[in-house]
Amino acid sequence: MTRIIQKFGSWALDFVALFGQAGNLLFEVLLTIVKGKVRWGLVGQQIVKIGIGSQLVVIITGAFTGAVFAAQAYFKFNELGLGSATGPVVSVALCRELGPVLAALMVTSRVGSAMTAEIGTMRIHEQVDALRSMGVYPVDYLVVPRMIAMVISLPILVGEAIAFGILAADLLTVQGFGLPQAWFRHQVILATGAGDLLTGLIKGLVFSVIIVLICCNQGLKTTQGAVGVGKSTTKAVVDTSLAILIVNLVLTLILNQFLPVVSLSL
Amino acid sequence: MSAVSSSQPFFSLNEVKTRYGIKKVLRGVTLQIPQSQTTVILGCSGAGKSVLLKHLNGLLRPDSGSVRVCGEEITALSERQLVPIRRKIGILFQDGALFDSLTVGENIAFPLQERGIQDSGQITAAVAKVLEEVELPGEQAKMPSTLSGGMRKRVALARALVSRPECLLCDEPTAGLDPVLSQTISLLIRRMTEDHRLTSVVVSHDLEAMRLIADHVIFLLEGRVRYSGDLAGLEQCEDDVIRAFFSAKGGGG
Repeated sequence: MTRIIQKFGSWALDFVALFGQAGNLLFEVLLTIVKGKVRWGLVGQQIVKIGIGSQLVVIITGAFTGAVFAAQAYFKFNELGLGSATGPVVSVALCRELGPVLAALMVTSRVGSAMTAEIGTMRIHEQVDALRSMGVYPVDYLVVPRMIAMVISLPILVGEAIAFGILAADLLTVQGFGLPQAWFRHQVILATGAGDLLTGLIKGLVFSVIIVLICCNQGLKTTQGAVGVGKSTTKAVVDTSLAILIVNLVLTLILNQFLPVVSLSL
Repeated sequence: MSAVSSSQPFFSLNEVKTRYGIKKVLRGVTLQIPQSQTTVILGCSGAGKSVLLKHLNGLLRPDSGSVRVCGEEITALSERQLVPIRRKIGILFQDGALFDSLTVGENIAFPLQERGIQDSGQITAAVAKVLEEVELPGEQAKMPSTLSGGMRKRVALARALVSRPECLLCDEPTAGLDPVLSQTISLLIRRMTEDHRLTSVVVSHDLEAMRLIADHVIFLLEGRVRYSGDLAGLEQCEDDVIRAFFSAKGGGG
């Protein structure tokens, strides 16, 4: 019992520490941006790595999620004679939840882990100290370009995941299950409002900040050599994924107050 | 070039204490490092030599005590306030700490670009000159991963010196090198120190290297200064621990 309480206490302390460190890092990032010390060349390189490099994985994730969700929705709705509800349900779910969350999780796995590993390796090989010794503030050089690139790239990737998800759902339900295409599209357009898309993009924006803060922070505090880089990378991916899922619920509850779901009329 | 008077030490530490968790690494280090000389910090592994070196330019901060650089107290300065101090000091890290994603030329040019030098011709010329000084002319285009251990150290030395600092810190510059390369690097540090009238601080447990470069020696034992003085004094020292160190290293004394 004591061990369980100790474990929980240790986890709670870690969580509070993570929250504090991430808040501090965010302050430092904003300070650099406000002071106009952004290295735009590095931002460009990071946009290529994050935005362009993640295209395929995000498109495939969005498309297959849209298709499989459409299939399951169609099987159930069709039993009730509500096959036409498939499009709106898939579209709203992709815009509001699945698109942003899955795109963010894929980017965390692909890019967030690489951020932690790269910065962690630089840290254990004293390259971060080398930056500091040359009068370069590591946050300016390592975190700010990644943050700006991620804030630009992830909402676009979320938009792509949503678009390809709806496209895949359209293909499957229309070509595969024989739902009339005009009917499917008409229902999707009718049920999907700007608020749904905006919700997805706002979530993408918030998740982009979370990914960079947690992954870069974990990289910057890496110790214990190659083993430490492995541990840091695992921890960064787990912490970021959990944070995305928890923050997603909070955002859903808040954003639904301001951007409510459009009423369905089938 | 130095802003300090010749009588003033470049570095002055007073009762510096640092611990990592429960381990006390520095247990009250008080020392002075004279300017325009080469000071070698000797000691066994785990004595706190590298930790001490990183206190000299604020990469590490003590739990208590004072660190002065050219008379200026640095322990309370923020990272941004430390920038002008750090620009006076070049540092050669143990493994070079070259940036893997940049070429040799880009690594060496990095400190110049960070000082706001925009003229690419001036940067190219400075890089070529310092590479000649470290006997690696024309190696600008190579990537650090393709270099041998000795070449990495020389490129790192070139990067540390390209912006013409007043002081050079070297962390185990001969570690992992064969005796011939070790001697080459030591002589290079000696020559660069003399040519540029630098204050140098070299952390090492390589006695041959120490004999080649040291004007002043500090022997560190378990986080405390056991000896501070010239090389001759150290070699004649009657301290049992120091004698044991020398005999274990095969250095006589």
